[in-house]
Amino acid sequence: MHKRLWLSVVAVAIGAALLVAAGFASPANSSISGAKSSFAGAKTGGTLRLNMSSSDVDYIDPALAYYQLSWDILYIACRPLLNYPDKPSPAGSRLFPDGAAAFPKVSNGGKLYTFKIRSGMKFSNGVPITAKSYKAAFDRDANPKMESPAVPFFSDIVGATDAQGNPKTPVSGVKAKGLTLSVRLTKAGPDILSRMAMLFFCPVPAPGQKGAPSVTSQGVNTFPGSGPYYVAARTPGGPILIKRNKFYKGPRPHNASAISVVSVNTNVDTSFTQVQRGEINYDMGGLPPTAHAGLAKKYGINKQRYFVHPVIATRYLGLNNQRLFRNTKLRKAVNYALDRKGMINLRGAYAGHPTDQLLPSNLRGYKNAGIFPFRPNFTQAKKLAGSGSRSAVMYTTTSPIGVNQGTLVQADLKQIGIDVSVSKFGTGTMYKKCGTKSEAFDICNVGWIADYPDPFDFMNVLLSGESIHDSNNNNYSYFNNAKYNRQMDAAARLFGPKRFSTYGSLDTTIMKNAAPIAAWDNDNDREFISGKTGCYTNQPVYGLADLALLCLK
Amino acid sequence: MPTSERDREVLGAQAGLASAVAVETGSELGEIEQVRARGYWEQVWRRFRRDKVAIGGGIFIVLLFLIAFAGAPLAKDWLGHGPNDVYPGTALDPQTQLPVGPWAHFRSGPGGLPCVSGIPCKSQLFILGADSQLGRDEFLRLLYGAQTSLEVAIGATVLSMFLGVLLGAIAGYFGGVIDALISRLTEIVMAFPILLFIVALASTVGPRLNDFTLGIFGKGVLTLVFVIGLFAWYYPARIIRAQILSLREKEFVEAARMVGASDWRIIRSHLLPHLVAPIIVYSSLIIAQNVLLEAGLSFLGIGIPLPTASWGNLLSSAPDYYLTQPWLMLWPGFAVLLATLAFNLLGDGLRDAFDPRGAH
Amino acid sequence: MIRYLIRRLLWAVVLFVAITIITYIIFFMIPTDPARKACGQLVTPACVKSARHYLGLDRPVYIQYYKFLERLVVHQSLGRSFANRQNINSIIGRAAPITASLVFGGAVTWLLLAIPIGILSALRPRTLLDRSAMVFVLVGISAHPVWIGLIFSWFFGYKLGITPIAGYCEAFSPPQGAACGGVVQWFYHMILPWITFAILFAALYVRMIRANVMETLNEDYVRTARAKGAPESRVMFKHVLRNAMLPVVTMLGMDIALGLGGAVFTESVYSLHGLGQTLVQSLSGDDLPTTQGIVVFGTLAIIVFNLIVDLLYAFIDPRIRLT
Repeated sequence: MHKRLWLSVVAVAIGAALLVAAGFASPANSSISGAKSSFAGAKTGGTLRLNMSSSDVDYIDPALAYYQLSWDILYIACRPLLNYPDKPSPAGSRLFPDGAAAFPKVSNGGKLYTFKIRSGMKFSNGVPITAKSYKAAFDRDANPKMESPAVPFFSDIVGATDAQGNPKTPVSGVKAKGLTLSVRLTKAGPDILSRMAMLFFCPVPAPGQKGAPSVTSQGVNTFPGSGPYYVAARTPGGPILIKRNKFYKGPRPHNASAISVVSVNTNVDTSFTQVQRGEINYDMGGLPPTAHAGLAKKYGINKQRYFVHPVIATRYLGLNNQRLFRNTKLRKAVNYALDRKGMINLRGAYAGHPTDQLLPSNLRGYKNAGIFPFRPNFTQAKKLAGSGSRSAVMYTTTSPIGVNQGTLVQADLKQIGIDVSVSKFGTGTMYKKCGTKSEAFDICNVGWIADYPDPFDFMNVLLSGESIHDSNNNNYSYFNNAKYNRQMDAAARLFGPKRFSTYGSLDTTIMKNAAPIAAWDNDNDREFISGKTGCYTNQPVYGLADLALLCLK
Repeated sequence: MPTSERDREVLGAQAGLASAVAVETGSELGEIEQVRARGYWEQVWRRFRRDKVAIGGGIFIVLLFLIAFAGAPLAKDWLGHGPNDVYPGTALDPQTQLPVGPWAHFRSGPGGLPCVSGIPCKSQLFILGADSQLGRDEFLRLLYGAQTSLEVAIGATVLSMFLGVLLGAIAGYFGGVIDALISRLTEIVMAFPILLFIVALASTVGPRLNDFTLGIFGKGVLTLVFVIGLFAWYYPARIIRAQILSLREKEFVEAARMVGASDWRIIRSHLLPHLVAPIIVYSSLIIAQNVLLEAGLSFLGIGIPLPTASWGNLLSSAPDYYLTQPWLMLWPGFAVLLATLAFNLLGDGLRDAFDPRGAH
Repeated sequence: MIRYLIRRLLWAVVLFVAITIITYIIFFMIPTDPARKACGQLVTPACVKSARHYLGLDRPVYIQYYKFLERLVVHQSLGRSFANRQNINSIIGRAAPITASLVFGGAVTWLLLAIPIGILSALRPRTLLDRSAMVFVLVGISAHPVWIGLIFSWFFGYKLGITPIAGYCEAFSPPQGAACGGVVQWFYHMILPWITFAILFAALYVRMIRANVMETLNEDYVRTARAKGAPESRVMFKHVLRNAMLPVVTMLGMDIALGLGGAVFTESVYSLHGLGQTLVQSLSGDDLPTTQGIVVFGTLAIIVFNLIVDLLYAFIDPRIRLT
């Protein structure tokens, strides 16, 4: 399950507090955070060799890629209007104008955003980057022939819906003129800046220009880069070659001269051994769960080669409120019966810390309420569940850890008379199925990593009943409570400290009274690099090593 | 028929066996044959008894059944925990967070949780250590896994043998269009990439059938029985058909037919007894193959569902501990090796006993 | 000969139709609502409706099957993957060479093992060599290939470090940026998979070759040749081995076809992304077209392969044509 948290699909407006995108998160001081950000021995040049064990990018096409590993690569190949700096937490999650010369001018009651594009920028193939290049990304994402998952992220732009109906219609609300890009919204969308930083809106040469990516639902495998690097070659199911973009003159780092993902879907033990022997610099796919304790002992944590960083993420069991878990007492019973520490142990040492609430403990607003125990209290659980035998279906992933988690939930719930049968699916498939309303499951083994650090991205996105559709849901527990829906809506409109404290109380209230989910883990990102590799920095938004900084020693 | 030549060669060295049995016993009329048959079985038994290796295989199989169906529950009572009981907080090495190794004693509260004051805490023994970070008893799971693996292997063999004998006998006895139809069907099944198909079928149809247990089998056992059995009947069918083809022209069948015996009666009381030898021999060999197949399917994650132990499931979770506890890969593999070996040795011994001329 | 050829070809066509019907039934009739699956993340009623139309689910079953067959035969297209939208032909185009490397290389390996061992143990029955060979046979047919693979990979790959633990290398034109490439690397990465894959078959072949050679040694014509004073080497090669090897050729054809399925286990242990691994992945991803594409392709490969073997055999052994 390592690094397989799903990125969220946020389609709803969020609080105006986020408008001026300057740092809304201040991760709590954790004993294991704080990587060094100065690299005395940093050396530039050379080729980094990476693996992706047991995983692959979904696409490398910015209009289609929607997966953590893909975004970690696109992050260094793209220069979106606004971007996150190559810095550790918390600076790394504060937006700065990258392709835009400054934050945009907002007018017309928050419905018109005017960006001034930086002058003199060029793609890796020499084509100048202008406002047209940014507009090209919107038009391509909207083209129905692309079948892009980006659609919900800009459907509030004028003309987006029309563009989605006809491949020849551009998005009329996005206008480019020289170095000026204007974006017109149908209604004020205070979170539009965070959305503009998503890599779906990575600039590409406009149709007719050299290197313009074709429109195909299979996606392109190379495209001219606008960031410090560009994707020079990719074979689906095979290697990805990333090279330095010679035309990039911006401030972002670029230590290695080339980065090669030499193999994907590698066997995790092979990959780990290769990193140990120095044949591979870094495995983006993660480590064998058994390796962590040994690595920490040998290299220390966050010192030379082994790194642990808290991620703003929660793993939980979505309890399907439409079926067996319509019953609130039963949901609470599950929360009492779940072995949270046991679940974390299955992921190896330093996997994270137990939690019983939805909001991650390192997210601003979190209040520790200590509602449910970290080790099961079967007596209490049985009292709530009452007598009688029930059966439930649980969806989990095919990975060994996913299977073991299924087994542990099965054993825990057996104690309270729930007979769980476990179905296994590939990670993407499981999320797709759990997001389909009619799917016959009772428990879904999910994780959620912040798209951007705000309680909205957890509370409203995961628990609001207003956004339940037939499919493509993020509310995996199908929790729909009118009172809480209203309270979440109200919280989303709040500003500043009030916003965070309101969300914090709401989190504890909902968990205590309704327990729509059974949360168990706040994740750590655990990484290991070879002895010849240096300059490791955890990019907090993408949750992986910053590839632009990673260097050879 | 273009493939007839091949049929013979597929059977290879075994082709002689059944016909030899038939020649030896098949020349007399029904009643006399019964008497003769007794002598024939005595001879077979005498020859079998001299084959020490096959006897060893047979004894091992008996022991295996005892261990699986009687020993496992006894061991469970003696150790005080079950094969599916998890010890997620206590069967782990506190330093490395890895499952405890062989012959591990540890103390644990109810539900496998760490001891807390005020709640009774018991000492547990894991003879072969824990199977994974879930902390289940590897030794007990091996014993209970034997149950599942044997049930699947024998069930699938019975089903495929039943289908094979039925279709083979009908094809061989009636000949003509029926034979042509069944033979073509056999060839079609043979032309399938059977393993690919079993893999695909087990995962598409499997989950729907898993809850069908007849009350005595574990979940998923019958699914595998059906999936394997439905694709493995062609081999016995071909053998039985060839047998019947040669037997059907014998005098005693002619005689029975003249007396006015029905086809069904001729098949049942005159032909089937001659097929006992090949059925026994092939059953034993096919059981061996099915033990391997169950392990393979469960290894791919499409066999026996969680949390039931089977050798394949144990083999499947073992590679997670590839770097730190490689011995977890050894036990289930050994169990499969020994069981398969025993059934193969028994099958070979029986074949030699039935057919002394084919002995190497 | 011509008549035999035509008959054999017609039978191959019948087999193909029969198998595609069964495949079609299993993969497109049994699962509930493939249209919903085709829509993936965007299951709107409109999408389901157009997908039903696109998949032809609003028409009678035989027309659906006909359309499926037409697409397969006329356009040689297996469709597009639900999971990553790739053309299934190109998915199979990438996976098939890996499986082919494994199966054909494995076949060479098992012949290289089985022929010398089988012949020698037949010539010297009940010697130490023969008995060791018989133990090898028993262990070979009883040990699980997955288990052998895991132990080999752990011992030779991890503990000794003399072979790769797992993985594959393209022999020719490796993709840009790949970890390794070239014939030597390909060979180096395939050694353990070949041996693992070959052991079961090698055991069966040792047994068969031994039995065949022993049987042939007792044939009249061999005794006659010997009695006539023909040199032993001539008797061995001209009479014994030639006749003993003929059935091996036929068996080889069938077993290579069988091995196509068996490869899934070896592929899974050594992370070789061949047809078997791709099949297992497509199953856990609910990717029906890919699953079906691989099964249809595998079946086709087996039919074609058997056809070639039969025709070759008919050339080698004229008696066949008469039957």
